[in-house]
Amino acid sequence: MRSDKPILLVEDDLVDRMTVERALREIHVANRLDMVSDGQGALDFLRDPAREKPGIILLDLNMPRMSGIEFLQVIKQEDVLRRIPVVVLTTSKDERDRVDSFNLGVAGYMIKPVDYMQFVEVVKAIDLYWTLSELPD
Amino acid sequence: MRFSLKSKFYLLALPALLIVLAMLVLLALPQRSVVEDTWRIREGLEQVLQAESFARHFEHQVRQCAAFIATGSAEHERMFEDARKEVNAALAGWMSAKTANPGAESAGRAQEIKSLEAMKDAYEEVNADCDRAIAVAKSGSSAQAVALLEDTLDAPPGSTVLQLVDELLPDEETRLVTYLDNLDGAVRSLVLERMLGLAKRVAEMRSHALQSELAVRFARDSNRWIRGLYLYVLTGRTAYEGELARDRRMAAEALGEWAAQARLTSPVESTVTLFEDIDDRFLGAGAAARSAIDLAKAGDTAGALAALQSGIDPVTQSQVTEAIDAEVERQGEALEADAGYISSTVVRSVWGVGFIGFLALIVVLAGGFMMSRTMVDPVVKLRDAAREFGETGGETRVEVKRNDEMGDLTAAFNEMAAARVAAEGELREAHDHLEVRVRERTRELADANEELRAQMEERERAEHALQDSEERYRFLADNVNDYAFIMDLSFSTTYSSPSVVRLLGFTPEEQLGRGASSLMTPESLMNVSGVLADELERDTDRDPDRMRTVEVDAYRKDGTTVVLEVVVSFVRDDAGSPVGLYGLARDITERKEAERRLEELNEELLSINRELDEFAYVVSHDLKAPLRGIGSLATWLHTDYSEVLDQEGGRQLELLLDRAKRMESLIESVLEYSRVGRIRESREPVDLNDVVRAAVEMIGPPPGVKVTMAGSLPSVVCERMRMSQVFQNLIGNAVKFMDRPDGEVTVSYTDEGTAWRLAVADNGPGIDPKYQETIFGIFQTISPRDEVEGTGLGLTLVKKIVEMHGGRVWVESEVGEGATFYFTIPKRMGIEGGTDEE
Repeated sequence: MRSDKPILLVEDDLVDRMTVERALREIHVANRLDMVSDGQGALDFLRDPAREKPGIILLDLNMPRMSGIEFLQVIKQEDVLRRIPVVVLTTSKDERDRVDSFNLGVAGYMIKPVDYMQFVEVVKAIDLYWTLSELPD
Repeated sequence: MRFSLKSKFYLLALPALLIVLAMLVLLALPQRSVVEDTWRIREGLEQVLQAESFARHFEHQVRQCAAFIATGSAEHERMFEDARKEVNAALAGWMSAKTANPGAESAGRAQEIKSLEAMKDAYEEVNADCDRAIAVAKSGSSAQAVALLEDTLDAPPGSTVLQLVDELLPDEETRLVTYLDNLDGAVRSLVLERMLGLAKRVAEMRSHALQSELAVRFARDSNRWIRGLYLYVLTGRTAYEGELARDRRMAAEALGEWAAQARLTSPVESTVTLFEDIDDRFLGAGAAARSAIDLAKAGDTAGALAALQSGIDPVTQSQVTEAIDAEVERQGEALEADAGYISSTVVRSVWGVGFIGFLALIVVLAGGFMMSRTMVDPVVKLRDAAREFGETGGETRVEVKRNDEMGDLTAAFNEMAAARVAAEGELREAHDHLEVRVRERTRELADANEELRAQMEERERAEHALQDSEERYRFLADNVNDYAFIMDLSFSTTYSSPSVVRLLGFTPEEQLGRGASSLMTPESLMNVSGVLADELERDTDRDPDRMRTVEVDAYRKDGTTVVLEVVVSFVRDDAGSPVGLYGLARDITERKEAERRLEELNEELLSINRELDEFAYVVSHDLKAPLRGIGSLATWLHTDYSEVLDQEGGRQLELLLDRAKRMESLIESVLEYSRVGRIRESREPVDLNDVVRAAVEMIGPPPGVKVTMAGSLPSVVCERMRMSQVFQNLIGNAVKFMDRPDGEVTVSYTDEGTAWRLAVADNGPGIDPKYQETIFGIFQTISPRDEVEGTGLGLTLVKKIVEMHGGRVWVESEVGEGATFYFTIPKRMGIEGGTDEE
């Protein structure tokens, strides 16, 4: 991806994590991929000063402990974290989830396709977005 | 306020008096200005004449001085002295006329008086110079005397006098003309001018003034000419020649104008003689002057002087002067007479009008007096007679003496009095007749009474019948399950049918005593009171059929409540105003209970449905996550380990992927199905042409299948996306199952009046009639799963959507004959449309 900042993937499903990891590799994105398994884990990760802050967060919604929406509600209250672009990557086509996500200022909302090759296309689209869109430093 | 007839007649004099006063005012105002203008003209003329007189006598004096120097004649010296007196007199007269007449044009007047005084001073010097010249001439030095005289005349003071006279005279004349114009205007504006002919008199005044002025001017100019002649002869200076000619011409002109003006006004005898005389002498003087000038030019000064003396001798000169004076005086007198006539005429006319007005007033008053005598007196007499007639009646009469309307009136009065006496006689007769009539009437009344009694008996019978009918009604009211009541407007019962016991446990008698708050629950009471107030307000039309149905929670005797449905109407008084209520109450507790139960069940059902939808949604959603994992892992196995796997292993992985995809689409279908009805779109007019085109585009039929529309499809009111799904499924099925290379799918419609019937027909394999019902069931497909991609939910979804829109769907087909799917969409969709969960 365009900067050398790491990517943070918030995802509880192991296969989905593998899918994202594999897809990124397939389209030759060399940025480091940090992975946490739920919202609380993501918060801990982001608040840890030893960790480098990610350039983009890929967020699943349906997770144990703290859901994606709850996670968004927390970080959008915080000065530094709220500026990190978040792309939702979920299986939920529910209108309520979409409305809530965009109300909380997400940069994109992607449905995880069942077919892996389509999944690769989705990750390509995220890469394209991150490459083309102007973002704050 | 009451005016008697007499005073009204006298009041007639009032407008007459007002008219006379108005006339006096109208006349007196302009007439006052006429009198004033007349006086001004007199003063103006006086000043003009004094000025002219001064100029003329001054010339005369100087002329005599010159003549004395030339001739040394004592006659000239005497006339010189006379002229000096005249000059002084004129000057004094002029001055006094100007100063004695205060008021008008004060600023200009002061300037004039100043000029006049300057002129007087200058004249005194000329006078002294003339005396000195005469004294020098007497001592024998005539040449020196002439030089002295010339010096005086050519330069100040002499020239000053002449110049000032030339300035002042035209002003005086102009002023006089202005006065005359004013008078003329004032006279013409008089109301009575046409009658009095005063304008003619003003014209005469103007002529008199002009004549006086011209006469004096002639005298002045001729004197100046003669003085010039003497000086010319004495000095021989050619400069005088031009002046001589000019002065003579001016004198001749003045004479000519004078004569012309005099001829205009039928001159008197003396004036005619005067003109002839002056004309002769003026001609004679001219001849003498010419010979004197010739002699003087030849150097014969003595001869020239002699010629002058003979042609213009002092004696005849003084006679002419006197004659002119007399004429001027005569003209002045004539003018004076005219002025006097005008002012006296004007004053007289005012008095005349006043007198006529007075006479008119007298006549009007006398007329009023006469009228009151001839009209009012008889009227008063009649009035008194009428009063007397009113009090005593009978024989009052008024004497008839007059042969006019008043006479007719008194005659009519007398006739009336006689007629009344006659009428009283008739009245008495009628009274006697009346007693007979009363007896007859009494008998008639007795007959009528009899008839009335018969009628009353008849009514009594009718009332009995009515009572019978009332009892029947009461029987009904007492025995039906409903309970009938009558109450006043404060809900206090005045009648209750016995059936109230069955409904409420109270007897009718107990029911009468119960107050409103013990009848029903507070909520019901509030509701019923509101309805009553509302109805009373709306009852402006007093519609006797007005009725309302209300539900009331009434208390039973045992304290429980019962729901009553009450149909109630107004009890009205004779005027139609509501005074109470009557109605029927029915126990609907059970019905209400049933309704409530139904509602509960409905609610329960809805809730279960919601839960079911929710469940389907969550389950499908949660099923998808592991499915995706299976799909991804199978893909990776297939790519990463293709070398390790043998052909059979590869095929199994492909089948695994395929089944994962099929399950994905199955789950999607279930989700979609649960979404229909759960998530509602807005209904709007949708053009089906667009919908079908979009559906075909999305399906992307293979080259062997042609999808067409039979004509233009209608617009229907529906949820756009759902309608699109219907066509996608129906056309999609037709394309998917097509088994021929020349496949045809046709979309058409029929107008069924209240609904559109749409059809999707294909020439595919057709559907066996035994499956035609089951294909719309959930997960029903008649193809082997591996042959045709299908979830078995497409038609189920179509059915759900069509029925949600209030339509129905069916298929007509034979095996091998193709299939036609029909569905209907109502043209007018209700707010809710059709039922959804059936």
